[in-house]
Amino acid sequence: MSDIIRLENIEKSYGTHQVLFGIDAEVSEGETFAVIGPNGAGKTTLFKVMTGEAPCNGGRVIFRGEDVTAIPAHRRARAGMGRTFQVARVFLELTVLENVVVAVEARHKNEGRRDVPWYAFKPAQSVVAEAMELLAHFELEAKRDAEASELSHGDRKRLELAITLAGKPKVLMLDEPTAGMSPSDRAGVVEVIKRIREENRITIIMTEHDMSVIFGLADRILVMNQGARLALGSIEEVRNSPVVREVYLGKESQHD
Amino acid sequence: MNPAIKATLLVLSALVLLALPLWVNPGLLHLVGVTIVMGVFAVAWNLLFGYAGLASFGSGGLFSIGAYFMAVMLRAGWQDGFLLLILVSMAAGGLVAFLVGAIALRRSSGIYLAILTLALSEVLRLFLMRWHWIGAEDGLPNIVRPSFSIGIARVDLSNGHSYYWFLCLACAAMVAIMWWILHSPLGRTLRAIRLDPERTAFMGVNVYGYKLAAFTLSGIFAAGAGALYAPWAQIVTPDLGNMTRSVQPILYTLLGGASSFWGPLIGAFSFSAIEYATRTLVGIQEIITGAILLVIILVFPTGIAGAFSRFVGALMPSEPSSRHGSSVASAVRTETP
Repeated sequence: MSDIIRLENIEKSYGTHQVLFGIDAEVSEGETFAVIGPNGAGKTTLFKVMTGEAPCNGGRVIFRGEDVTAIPAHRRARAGMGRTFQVARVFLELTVLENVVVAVEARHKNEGRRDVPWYAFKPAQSVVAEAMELLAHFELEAKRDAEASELSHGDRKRLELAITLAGKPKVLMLDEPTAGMSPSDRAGVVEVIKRIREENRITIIMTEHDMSVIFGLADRILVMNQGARLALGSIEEVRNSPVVREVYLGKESQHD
Repeated sequence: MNPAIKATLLVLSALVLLALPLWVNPGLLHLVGVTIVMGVFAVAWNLLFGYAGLASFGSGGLFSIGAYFMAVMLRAGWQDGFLLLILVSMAAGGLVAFLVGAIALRRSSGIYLAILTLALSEVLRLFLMRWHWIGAEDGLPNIVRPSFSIGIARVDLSNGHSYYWFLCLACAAMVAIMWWILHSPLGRTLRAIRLDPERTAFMGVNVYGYKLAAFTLSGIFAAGAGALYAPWAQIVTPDLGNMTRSVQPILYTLLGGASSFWGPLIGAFSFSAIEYATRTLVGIQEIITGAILLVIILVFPTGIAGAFSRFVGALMPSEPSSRHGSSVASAVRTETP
C-alpha cells in the first residue's frame, strides 16, 4: 500500500503559541487512521493543516504524491480530500436536497461535466438523481424538501456525510464524528462509517474522543499530546505502549 | 409561495406598469420610471448581499459609471448604436467592479468591505465633481432620448412615452437575466457560499472566484440601471454616486426582503409609494417615512416579500411546496424513535 497522505515535520504556531511540534505521520491508501489525544493536543489543528484551512509554519504535507503545503483548501478538495466538522456544517437555509445538489454540481463542474445546456435554470436530472441516491443511502430521502435547519443533530451529521461523499473524495476526514451524540447514536455512526468504507474503498482519517469508536474502526492510531507525536501504530501497539497508557489511556485500560 | 400565484402577480404588475402612461400624469410617470430603474439597481445589489453575502456600500459609484458612460456617448451623438451603448456602459461597470473586487475581496469582507467600497465610490464622486470635460459639479444636462434602427425597423424613443416602454422592457430583460443567473448552478453555489464559505470551499469551490463573479455581475447590472436612467432623467450629476444613492438599494432590499429575489423590487415600489403618499406633509415627511420603515422592518424581519408569502401560505396552507416538504419531514421524524 502506498501513502496517500504524508506529513513531514509539521510545525504550527498561532502567534507566539506553538501548537504542533514536528509531527511526522503517513497514512496508507485504504486504511482507517485515527488521531487521538486529550483536549488541546492539537488534533483539530493537525486536521486543519492537512485540509489547508490553516497553513503550517514548517514542514510539508504530501497528498497523493504531490506537495500540497501551499495549496488552498478548495484545490485540495478537488484533488480528493473531503472533510466533516465536529459540529456538522450543512447549509441551513437550503433544503436537504439542495444541500447535496450544490455539492454534486460542484464536483461535476470540477470534472468539466455539463449535463444540462448552459441556459438551464434547473439542476440536471443526473445531478438530482445522484443527490437522491446519496440521500437514500443516508435514509434522508423522505426529508428532501425540508430545510436543513429543521433536521436533528444526527440527521445533520448524516447530511454532512452525504454532502462530503458527493465530492467522491479519496480521503474522508472526519473530525469527531460522534461528538455530542448518545451512545446508541454513536453505534449507528460507527456502522455508517464502516459501510462507507466498504462501499467506497476509501481512506478515512478521523479524530475521536470515544475510545470504543476508535477501537471499533481504526487500523492505526496516532496519539498526540501537547502538540507532539506520542505514539503511532496499530491498536495493539498503542494499547500496550506505556507512554500512551500513562498520558491518555490510563483510565480506559483499567476499564477493560 | 405557489408559482402560479407568483406568475399571476408578476404578469399583473407588468401590465399595470405598461399601461401606466395611459392614465397617470407625467410627474408620477417620471417617478415610476425612476422607481423601476432603482428596483433593478436594488436587485443587482442584492445579488451580492442576498446571494453571495457581501455588503457593498459603493454601488452608487457603479450606478453613476453606467449613467455617465451613457450620457457622454449619447451627447457625442452615437444614439444609433443605443443598444450597444447600454452594453458598453454595463461592461464599464463590470470592469470597474472586477478590478475593485479582485483587490478588495482578497483581504476584506464584512464591515471592511462596506467601508472600502464606500470610500472608493466617494473618490469617484469627487473625481466627477472636478472633471470639467464631463461638466464637473453641474453634470451633463440635455441628454437626448435616442432614435435608432434595428435591422429595417426604426425605433424612436424620443417621442411621447416610447422611452418609458423601452425602459420597462430593458429592465424586465435585466431582471430576467439576473433571475436566470441566480437560479443556475452559479446562484445555488453563491447561496451556499453566503451560508458557509468554508464548507463550500471543501466541496472544491473556489470561493474567491465566485465572490468576484458576483461582485462583477452586480457591477454590470448596477451600471446597466444607471445607463437606462441617464436618458430617462436626461441629466446626470455627480450626486448620482453619493452615499444616499448607495444606501437606497440597501434600504429597498431590507424593506422588501433580502431572502427573496423579488424583495428589492417590492421594496423599491413600497418605498416610492410611501414617499409619494407623504409628499404633501412638508417638514414631517421624513419622520413619517422613517417611522413606517422602522415598523415594517421590526415587525417583518423577512421584509414585505417574506410577510406576504407567509400571509398567502396561511390562506392556502396546502399549496406551497416547501411547507409540504417540511411537514413530510416532520412526519417522518416523529416516527423515528
